[in-house]
Amino acid sequence: MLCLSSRLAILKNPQYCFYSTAASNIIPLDILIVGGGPAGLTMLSSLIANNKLNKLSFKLIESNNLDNQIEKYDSLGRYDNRIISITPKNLDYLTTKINLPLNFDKITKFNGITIFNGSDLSTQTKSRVDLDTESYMCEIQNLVKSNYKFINNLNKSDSLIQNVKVDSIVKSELDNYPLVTLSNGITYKPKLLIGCDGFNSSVKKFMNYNGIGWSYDSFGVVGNLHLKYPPSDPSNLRGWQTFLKTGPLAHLPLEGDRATMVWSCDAAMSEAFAKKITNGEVLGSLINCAYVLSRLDYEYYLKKALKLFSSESVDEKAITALIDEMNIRVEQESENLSKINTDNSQDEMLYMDEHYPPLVKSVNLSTVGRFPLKMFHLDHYSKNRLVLIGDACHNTHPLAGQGLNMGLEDIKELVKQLEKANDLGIDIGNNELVLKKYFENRYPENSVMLMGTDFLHKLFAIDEPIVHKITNIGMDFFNNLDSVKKWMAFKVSGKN
Amino acid sequence: MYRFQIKKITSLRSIYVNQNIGFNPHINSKARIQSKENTSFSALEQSHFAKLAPTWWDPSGNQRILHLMNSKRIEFIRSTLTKKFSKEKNDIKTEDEIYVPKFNKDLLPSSIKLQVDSMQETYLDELLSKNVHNWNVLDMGCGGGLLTESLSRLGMFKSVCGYDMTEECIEVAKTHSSKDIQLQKNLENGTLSYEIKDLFNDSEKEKKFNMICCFEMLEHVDEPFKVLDCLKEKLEINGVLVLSTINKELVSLLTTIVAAEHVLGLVPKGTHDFEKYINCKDIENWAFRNKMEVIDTNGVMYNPLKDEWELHDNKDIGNYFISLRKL
Repeated sequence: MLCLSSRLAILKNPQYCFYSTAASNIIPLDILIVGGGPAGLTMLSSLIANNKLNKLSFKLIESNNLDNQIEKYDSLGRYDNRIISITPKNLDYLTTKINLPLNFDKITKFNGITIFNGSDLSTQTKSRVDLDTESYMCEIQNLVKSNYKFINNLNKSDSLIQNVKVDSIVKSELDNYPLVTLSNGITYKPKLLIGCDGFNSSVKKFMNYNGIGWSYDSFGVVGNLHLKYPPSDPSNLRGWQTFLKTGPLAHLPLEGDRATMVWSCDAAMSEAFAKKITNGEVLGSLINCAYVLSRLDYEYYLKKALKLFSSESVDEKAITALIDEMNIRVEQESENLSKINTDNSQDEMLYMDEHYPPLVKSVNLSTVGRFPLKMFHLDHYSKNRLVLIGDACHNTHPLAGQGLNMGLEDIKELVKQLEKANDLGIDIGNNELVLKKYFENRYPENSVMLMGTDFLHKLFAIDEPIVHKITNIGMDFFNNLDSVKKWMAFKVSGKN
Repeated sequence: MYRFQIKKITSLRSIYVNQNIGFNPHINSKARIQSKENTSFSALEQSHFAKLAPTWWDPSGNQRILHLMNSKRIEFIRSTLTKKFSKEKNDIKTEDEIYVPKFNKDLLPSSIKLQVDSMQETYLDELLSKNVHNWNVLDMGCGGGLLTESLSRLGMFKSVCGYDMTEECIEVAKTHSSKDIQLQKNLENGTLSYEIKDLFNDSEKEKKFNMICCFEMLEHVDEPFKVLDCLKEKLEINGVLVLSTINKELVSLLTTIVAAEHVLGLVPKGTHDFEKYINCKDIENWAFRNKMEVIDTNGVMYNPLKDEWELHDNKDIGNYFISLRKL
């Protein structure tokens, strides 16, 4: 009876209850990573692969079920639509320093990227820049899966906690450690809390820093492309990008007759692409038009296509007619361009192959997806015992393909600083001596990248003929600065 | 002719060896009067450090420069110990050395270079941790426990102990360590400890250490060479004494006092007293007289552009680190 009444007393007194559960379930840790996306998992793998840092205790929490995700990816049988580019130096880091078992059958190397000025009215004076930045196209899921495999192979699967969300983060009053309470009731008390949980990061909210950023009022539409015929030289693939009024359209190579696109569109266009358009060939032909035809022609066909699909009942005949019309126009223009720019028939045949992207047959509609584009940069990445990496502290326009690469660079730098701190016996959560160093080394580089892409996006969005002319001249001028281009390529890819 | 040469050499030698070794030849009379109290640390200095104690652990505060220097201290300790052990190892067995390629590592492909680097690093780390795992380490003049905490956190040594004369500093060190999960454990199991102790009135004469660190302390005491004698007493045979202080020359005056204290305000005013600086040569002479072998010396200077301390080779200018081995 006495026993029962004392229990009741505990239940009746909520304060006591709270205190007892809170005190008994606090688990001290060295490092806690929040978020199991590509950045978070790579961070965990980097810690495991580092033979100094792997003596620490660390855990990663992820709200999704990674097993299901990977199973779904395995049963896909084709390319996933979330494909990113990885620079050679970052791929080097992943394969040699961490030793990730990446699936190289699904990674495509390309040797450079060609950028067109799509705002020009004439096809013949359309300026272009050829950048020889080597890069690798890799699915995000490929990276996630290889990380997952790597972690399991080394029997570190207990450091991965799935299906768990962060309920709250509070500061312990006694010693200023962060207390992270999870949805399964466990509370961790990490020396260092790393936030890799993207734009809506809970760690970022807890840090409460300001940043600069804006939404572009446009969406990125991704999708996998089916080419008319595979590129003639598979060992020398290129990426392509054209700057249209709504933003850049990128056409990036994959294995064989496959490719992928990232198309910056305004809200109406993206909605039509993602939901209304029921014929992949229309989209494919539109991409061809965007590269080969002049701006007026492309915009004419775009308007026509959007109009066709805006009505409830879709006229199949009109669609095939439109596709045929576009294909004929592209063919005519191609012939025209090759004739003007070459002086013998041999070069004429190869001209379009070498100077323009391979023609698209259709877009695989089941892979089409869209996401809002924004730019965001936090003023600080770190506080005592708290640090952010990847998308949690910077979001960029995908036009340079540097989003994940910046995240990987963050990871490299943070691991370097943590290793140094560990060697010198400094507290790894110390902001002033460890985390701030990471921030100071990464902020300028990230800033340049974010501002650069933002500038390019805005420059090409200006709808003024005089600006188009100036950008055209600027791009032609830039294309002739070989040494500057080489330097830029080296900066981005880390390889000459 | 031959005799004359010998005479010349001996006369040169007698000039080089300082006859006044055993006490600081440059000590001024005022300090000597104060030292009559017979403590290693003057009352004036004690009150200065007691005042500093509360801000000791704020890495953005006025001890920032010391926090930055701390990592270089550990770096120096690591390198000097590695140097010592690899030298000892070489004495025993030469064929057991790690293979060092006879060509430039930078010419190798990057992945192989990474592997060679990491192999070399792990070899040296193992060599170090294998030799020091049963070492007792003393941090003399630990202040707020900057170095003591770092040494304890390395987890290589059997025990780390911090001595200081200022009660406030020890108090700060203890409370700060107890707020760290790992160090709290170390405090509980005795591998980390702090004590208020005056070297000159030490009751525990038997307690000996394998390594004694004494960083940025000699320039604050009145009789540094007496302190060194005491420290040597506390050292095991073959133990290591790691010291750092400031050369008594113009550059030191300009950097540590004029620039750091008065112009840039990096260090609280009144931290340094130029009269108490000690030249590296004097320490080397003391070592020579007292059967200590110099393992390594390094100059160290603050680079405001990088916001970092840097080790350099000129030990006779500015701040310096020196490590000695008891023979």
